[in-house]
Amino acid sequence: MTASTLDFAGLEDLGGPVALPRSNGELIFDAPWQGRLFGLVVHMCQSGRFEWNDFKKHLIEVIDASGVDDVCDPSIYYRQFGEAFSRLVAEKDYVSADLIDQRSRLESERLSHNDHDHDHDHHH
Amino acid sequence: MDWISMADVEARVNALESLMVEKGLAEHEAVDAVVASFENDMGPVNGAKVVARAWTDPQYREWLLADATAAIADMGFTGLQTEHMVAVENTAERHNVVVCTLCSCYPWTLLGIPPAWFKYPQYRARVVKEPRSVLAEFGVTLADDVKIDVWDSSAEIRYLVIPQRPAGTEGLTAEELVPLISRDSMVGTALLTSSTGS
Repeated sequence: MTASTLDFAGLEDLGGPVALPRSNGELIFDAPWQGRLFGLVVHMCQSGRFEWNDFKKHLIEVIDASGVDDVCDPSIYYRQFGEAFSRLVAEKDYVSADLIDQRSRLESERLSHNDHDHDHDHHH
Repeated sequence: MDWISMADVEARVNALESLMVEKGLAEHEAVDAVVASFENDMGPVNGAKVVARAWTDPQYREWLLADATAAIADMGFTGLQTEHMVAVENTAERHNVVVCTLCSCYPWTLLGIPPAWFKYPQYRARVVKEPRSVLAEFGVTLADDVKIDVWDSSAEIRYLVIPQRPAGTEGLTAEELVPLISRDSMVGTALLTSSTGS
């Protein structure tokens, strides 16, 4: 399968304050969206849509600006990862920030409808 | 919009992926492949390949036991998470089981995503104090004279258990043995038979 040919060597480059979240060396994701986002970024980088360094530059900026550099917490780190990716695709003119916001709202509605496909008031 | 304060990150990620696919810049299947490679290809099958080679190549087995980091690197599993590996071998007299009492250190590249139970405080606390009964709860019942060694992972060292090769597999090649070797057997919470594997 194609996955076995993937080369993750470039990821080693994400050292220092932008290093991928690890638990004593091991990459960690604590929710499926984090893996999905990571997969999207890796795939687009590997297919030549951007240079890893371009992404890294945005990630450093986002982390610096947020003042939160707790790479131990994937839920925080991958939010920064997502923000960096959003800025990169806007910079590349792949998609505008407005369109991402607009589609996110639609997706949010869709997800909540999946949870509540009929009227009831109990909590899952 | 600021991701840090945003609750619905899942919607945001879905939006990004669907937009990229619609623009012809990404493919869902390729994202699947990256995710799967972390879940599977970089997962237990790599550990199983190391074990199968050790079972079938005595020289490699000795190397693995003497210097697991180098022996595993020789299989191409380098970098990300296997910098300081130690291999411990199960025998008829001795059973090894791995835990991380501090957090959830785990040889990710070799064994994939850690199973949920590996992170449970109950497992982490109890397997050190009463390994025999914890193993029994996993279905691993060991004779009283089998010694149990519990290995506590740390930032410096992560462990790979070399399970005992199942009886009846003497004629199999390393490639044929790989599917028989389960993730849990390489953590020490399962034994293998000639038909097991996961």
